[in-house]
Amino acid sequence: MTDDFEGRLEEHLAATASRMPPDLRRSILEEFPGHGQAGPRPPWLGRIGRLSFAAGVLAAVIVAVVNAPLIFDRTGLGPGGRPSNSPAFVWDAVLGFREFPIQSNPSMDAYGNQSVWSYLHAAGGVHDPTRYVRFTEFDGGARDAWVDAAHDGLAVGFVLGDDALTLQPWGRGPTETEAAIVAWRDPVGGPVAVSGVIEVDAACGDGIDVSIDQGGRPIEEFSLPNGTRAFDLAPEMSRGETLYVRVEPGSSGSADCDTTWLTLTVTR
Amino acid sequence: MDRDLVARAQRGDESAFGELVESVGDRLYAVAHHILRDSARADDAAQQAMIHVWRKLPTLNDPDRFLTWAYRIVVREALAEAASRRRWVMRVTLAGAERASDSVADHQRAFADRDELDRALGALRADHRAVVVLKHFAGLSNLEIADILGVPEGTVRSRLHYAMSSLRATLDAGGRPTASHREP
Repeated sequence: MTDDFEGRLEEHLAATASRMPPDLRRSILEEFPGHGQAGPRPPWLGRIGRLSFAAGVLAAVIVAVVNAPLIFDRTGLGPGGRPSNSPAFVWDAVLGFREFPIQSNPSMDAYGNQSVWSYLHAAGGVHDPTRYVRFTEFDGGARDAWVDAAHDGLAVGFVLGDDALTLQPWGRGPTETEAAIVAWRDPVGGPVAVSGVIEVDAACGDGIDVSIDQGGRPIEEFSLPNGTRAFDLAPEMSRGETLYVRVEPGSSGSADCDTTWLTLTVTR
Repeated sequence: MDRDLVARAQRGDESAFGELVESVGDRLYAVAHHILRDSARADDAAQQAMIHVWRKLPTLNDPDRFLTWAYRIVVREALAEAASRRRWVMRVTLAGAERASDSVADHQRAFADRDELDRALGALRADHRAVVVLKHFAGLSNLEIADILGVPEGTVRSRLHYAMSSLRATLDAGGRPTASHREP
């Protein structure tokens, strides 16, 4: 039922709705030569698209040039074999997430190492990676998320609008839950700095249980009722060992308002 | 929405896609503009959204759901834009309009009301504003909004409740947003 305030709000939003500016509309339509206003235009990328593409190519070249010694020299030493003060490797869970149409699970890292990032789910099996199951279905329509048809809503993917991954656990009561998990497999081995932020709805729901495990051993474990919590860890990893960030519904087992935003950076 | 038109666009018919842009462009742009409240940023979000719509159109399973699906993409682009370049937008307030008295002429009062509501909307977090816009401008159900945002329906209900309470509280305070509701 619509009250006066809602009616006033709807009236306001309708009255202040902006129309697409004609030059923007023209610019979009001109990218598709089959439409009436076609001209001799470059390929379908628009003005912004072309600029973004050019900037992306330039950035890729710069990154490749700067990181070339590190990519090819996995010893962690800087250019010329001298120790470098800057971190040799940085793995970022958000940047490492591969979108449609190049999604893969597991997926490689930015240095070309295979099977570094994985997106998993699990019914129970806390601290027991043998019970974790890899997502196999991908929703690439718009949100880019690994999903599971058997558990509606369960997902690991991109959150809308934030520079974070979304972990959406699933639950239908205390004994029927499904955790959402992001895994990072160390391709090199040695000490790393693991940092990030976990955020869950500030007011709604009974929160989430979080566990950060090195293999099957918890190195950080907490319940997050609402809001944000940062973590900063320094585990010693073995080559091929895996770090898991696991999120599941709070004690009630309800996943309402349990959408979790995760930033995760591993630095060596 | 014309199902055949969407189906033709899905098969790569650029003319059909152009017709889609003509048909839904204003609605999609208005949603981006309501969320971002900045024309230049709404331009960027809308253009990027249309590129994504074109690129991902073949993955759309049900042409009947095109509009909801397109809303999802434009909201995503708008929220990404909001998150990547958060900044204060200078807001012009009408001199003397903040506290309209009984002696103010009707048209001035209406203008002041609009200004207060506008500032209250501007004080919401972008993701909460998106829920309000999808509900009260696009006229979508909570379930459709949940699908668009990729969150459970309960989360939509909570965000909507929180946003509407914030709007009412801000208006009750004379249009002055509380610090906790300001964008950083």
